[in-house]
Amino acid sequence: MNWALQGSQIAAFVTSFAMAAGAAAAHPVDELIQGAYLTLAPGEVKLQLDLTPGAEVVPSVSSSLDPDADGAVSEAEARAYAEQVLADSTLILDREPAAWSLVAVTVPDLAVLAEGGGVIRIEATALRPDQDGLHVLAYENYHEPVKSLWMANVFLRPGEGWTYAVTDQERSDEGRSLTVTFEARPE
Amino acid sequence: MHSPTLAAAAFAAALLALPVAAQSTSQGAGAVPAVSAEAATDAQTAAIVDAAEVFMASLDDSQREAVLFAWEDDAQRTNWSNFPTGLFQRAGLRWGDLTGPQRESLTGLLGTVLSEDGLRMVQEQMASDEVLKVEGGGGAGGGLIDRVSGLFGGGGPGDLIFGSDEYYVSFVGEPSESEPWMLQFGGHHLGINATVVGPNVTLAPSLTGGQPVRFTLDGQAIDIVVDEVTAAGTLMASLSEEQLGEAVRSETRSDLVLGPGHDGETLQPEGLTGADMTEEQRTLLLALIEARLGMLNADNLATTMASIEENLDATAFAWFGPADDPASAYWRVTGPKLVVEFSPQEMGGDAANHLHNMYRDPTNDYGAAWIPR
Repeated sequence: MNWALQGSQIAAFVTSFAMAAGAAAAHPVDELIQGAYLTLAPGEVKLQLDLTPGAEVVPSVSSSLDPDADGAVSEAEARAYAEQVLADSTLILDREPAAWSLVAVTVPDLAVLAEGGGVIRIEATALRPDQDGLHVLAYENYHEPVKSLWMANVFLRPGEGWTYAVTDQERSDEGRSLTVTFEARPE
Repeated sequence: MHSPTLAAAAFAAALLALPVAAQSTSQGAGAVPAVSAEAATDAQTAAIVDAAEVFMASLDDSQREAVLFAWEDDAQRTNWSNFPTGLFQRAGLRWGDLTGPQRESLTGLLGTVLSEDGLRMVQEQMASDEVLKVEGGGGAGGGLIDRVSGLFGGGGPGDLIFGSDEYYVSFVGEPSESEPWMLQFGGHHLGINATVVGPNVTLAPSLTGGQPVRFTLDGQAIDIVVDEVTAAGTLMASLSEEQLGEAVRSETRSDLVLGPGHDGETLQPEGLTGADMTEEQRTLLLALIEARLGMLNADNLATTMASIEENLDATAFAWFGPADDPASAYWRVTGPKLVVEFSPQEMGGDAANHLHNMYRDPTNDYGAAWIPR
């Protein structure tokens, strides 16, 4: 992971690459699988959003990734796409909206995507204060360019003197939203 | 029900008729010492190492070089996937390039690491991919090759390669009774990762699945996950309305969360915990877990299940999808000592006929708990 990448460094990490299939877990055909991996870490919530378009829905996704239709996804195009996808989701921390900052985006070769074997990975972060006690994180993903299957799951990365424990998880029926109640404690 | 028939009877003879090593008492190329149910764990590891050495001895020098990777090679350790060749390139030796005696020796090794059911499942998955190959990638209305071909303007299916030949074996570290090593065997929808550390063996993380899941092979009806689906349905049927309210997290199925590329990530327990189940339901939960983990040999399975049972109060069962259709719903079991995911996936057809399933141990993937850091 390249969570440390910021600002202009994003461009260096935006690459068109033959996706290491080890990072992919699905090859659906007629839907876009949107897997959100939310990680509670000291001072932030990390988001890894894996978008896996099935072969039949790739054209719709590709047209957003490559608006000039030159057959290659430029750094600017990848970043614009990622920002657009992030804008379609919300994060609320203890009833206060939090903003995503794009950290990195990786895009497979369009030919790999066309085979239904590629994952577009968007990484973002949202700042939050670490405070002792119970907190609530609410995530919702409205992105739906084509038929989609949404999922969201929470992970913990304690450190810097803080530990976290999830006490409750609630989901919407269609998988778009996840509300997590967690306890933060200083070690 | 999607029930293709594989006409190649010769394939069935070549694949499914191979001996199960743990049952073998012969001294042929695939023979390994039999291990009794009462044998000590050291005896199990000794049998596994013996079987590995029999296989290694069947290889020529270039094959031995190709199959063996250094124990420190983390890239190879994590080099597994659900994807077919063409989307993912495995390393090691390809089943299709092995001679008959070499295949027999490898089957003997797999049959010592795995249980009889586990070996059968692996063989059925390979047979399933042969069906997929014969059908051109999934059959009418759901054919991956057909669909992909269409996207290429009908010019070809890309480079996807299906079939039983496309399964690979590799070793990370040399087989040893004392030093850690790992046996990998995988292909489309299969990633068996068996880490051996002295008397201990774990299959975490391993991926299983298949497409088709149900098919006819040489006149025999095959259902790769019948035990698992039955166990899941039985557990669900035992739950009260209140318990179902806890267990069923969504009426929409989820997709696989902790597949390849997600090492070191731990799902937070969610759903109905063992602590909130009756004794009968706890037994059903353990039966469900064992339906998956039972692919491991009985000796090492006993140790693994004992650890899981000790933590059953904190182990949770969660269901995503229709409550009355255990074959097409996603479910997971999460606890201190395991994560199991059962993930049907639509390919434009029957979700129950395309599976990606995972087993992980949050404390011991790749034997991490047994290896001094």
